[in-house]
Amino acid sequence: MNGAEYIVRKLMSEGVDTLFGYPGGCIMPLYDALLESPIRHILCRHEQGSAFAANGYARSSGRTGVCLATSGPGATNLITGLADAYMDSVPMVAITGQVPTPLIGSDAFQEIDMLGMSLPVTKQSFLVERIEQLPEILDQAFHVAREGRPGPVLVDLPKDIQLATLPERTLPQPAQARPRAQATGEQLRQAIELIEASRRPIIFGGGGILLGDAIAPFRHFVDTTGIPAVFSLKGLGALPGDHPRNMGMLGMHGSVAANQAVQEADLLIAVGVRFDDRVTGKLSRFAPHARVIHLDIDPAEIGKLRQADCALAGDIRQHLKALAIHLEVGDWQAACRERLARDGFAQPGQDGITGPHLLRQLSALTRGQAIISCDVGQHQMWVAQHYAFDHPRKHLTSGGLGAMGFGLPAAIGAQLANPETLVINVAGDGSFMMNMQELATIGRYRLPTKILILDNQALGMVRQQQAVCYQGRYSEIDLSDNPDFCTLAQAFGIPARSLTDPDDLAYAINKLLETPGPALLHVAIATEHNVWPMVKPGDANDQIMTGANP
Amino acid sequence: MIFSLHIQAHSHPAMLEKILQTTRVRGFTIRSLEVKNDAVEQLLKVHLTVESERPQERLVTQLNKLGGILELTALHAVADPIPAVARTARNVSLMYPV
Repeated sequence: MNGAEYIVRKLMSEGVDTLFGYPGGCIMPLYDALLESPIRHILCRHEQGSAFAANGYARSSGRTGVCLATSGPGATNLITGLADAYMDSVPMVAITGQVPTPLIGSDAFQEIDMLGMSLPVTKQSFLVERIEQLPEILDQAFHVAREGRPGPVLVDLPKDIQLATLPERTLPQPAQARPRAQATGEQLRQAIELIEASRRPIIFGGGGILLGDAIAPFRHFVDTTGIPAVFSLKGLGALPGDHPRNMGMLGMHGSVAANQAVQEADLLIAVGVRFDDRVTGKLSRFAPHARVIHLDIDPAEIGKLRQADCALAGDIRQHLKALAIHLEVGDWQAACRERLARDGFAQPGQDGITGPHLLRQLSALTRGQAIISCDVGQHQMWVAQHYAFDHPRKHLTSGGLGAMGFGLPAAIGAQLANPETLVINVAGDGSFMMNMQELATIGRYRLPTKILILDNQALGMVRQQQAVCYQGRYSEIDLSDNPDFCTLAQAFGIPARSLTDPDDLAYAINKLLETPGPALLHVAIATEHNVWPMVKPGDANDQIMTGANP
Repeated sequence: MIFSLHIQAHSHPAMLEKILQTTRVRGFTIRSLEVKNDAVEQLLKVHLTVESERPQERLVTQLNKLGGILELTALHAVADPIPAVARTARNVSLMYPV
């Protein structure tokens, strides 16, 4: 058995059923070995597409996403997808070909120091220098990707290692997760005392709830304590959209109600969050009256930006169960409900087709049950504000890195992981153009993925910040020379139509959803519409702007 | 604040780079660095003195979670460990200046 054949057997033993990749010179032995394997390989049309597809596969399934690329440009093209997985804690293993070991360091054709290049964007990176190292490195790679706070791992694999003979040996068992750290009884007692003493507690939930497999205990905690909850972008769906304690998203484009509740709270129970600046605004004025209980699997996140009065590092499932006590906070609940009714996300009053109108309609017609894979920009925020997710695994969004071009390939990965589920890529015109080559992947595999493009013929979020923060001095945001997106989709064999009449909104969305196989709906929206509310970068959340669109 | 770290780690390729990169990215300037590679034990032994206005926990917790780190000891701290903002803000204790 050679190294490449061993890798295939290892992937199968790890339960990997789908790979995303693009072949090339230094990864050819592995592609040759794949010919005899039952593992499905999805040929994307760019390595960045492969990485994002593996990323979407992992986010939507909870399994480890695996992508392959050759050395040099193939490997460097993976970097953005790995960085996205690193920022959002997505378990991935990337295997890259490398020039043969004797040529490493000789500036050989398609040689690049991928080990060094990947260090800042992976949880761990490996270079296999000898065939004997291969089994242990692959064991570690899959273990590290999943263990604790998940993340991407890179294995750089010289071509001669793939071809070298490995003595027959028993395949190692998939690595077992280590027992997770636990808070002490004293720490839990302190947390309960803080909760019992609070009159205005608020839960601040993030992506760690899903990553910690803690949706059920989180919902039980909310229902038992009755504490209202706000969410970061990655926490959305941890409570159903219509849950009475769900106050929705806070932060830069969060609701006035959610931000005010946090500013007034006397206790912040932070669950699986990292106090990202898009959430906190000016950190020194975030939740100024609140004491903080912080639950997170990663001890490095606790106290990193906001000091916790009570730090509960470790398994948030167990900690949430231990903290689920009955409280009497009826007045505070009522105040939050009233505020949400008054200052929650409202449908804009203007006529015509707007992002909020469209996303509310989509949410209603899909009952919040579709997998929505967003790109990055205004449409991403409208999805977060107006689509009522029933589970966070259905919301695929590039939260930490904010990578335009994420949505389409991530939707491909999600569709392959969830073949029976409705998967919709909600894109902006700018983002869509960044990885539109993956229309060919959708066409090739006839994936039933739907694509909804909100086309404002501009880089809308950049334009909005230039309007608000740069006195309307618009610089390089015009995209009025966009191609005809319907013709483009049809060129890849994907049926497409355009929506222009507001009265056809529900009809057009229904037609999109009912179309067998892939389909694209292009929606023209006004260039000058902004996402409201908004906290300007650097401002405090209590300086939130509640503008109105023309 | 200036403090020293003693680190023992697996002698993996790029282990030293990862330690130094993490140190830089987290906002710490290296004052001195001593490295020994123990070929017999396959251990990397690093003695690092760094300077930053940020608290040492910020670096220690990040280094501590790197794959391959076996032992990490913060040896001593010099100068005021409390960042200026923490002394002036009410109700909010910041871990580093903003």
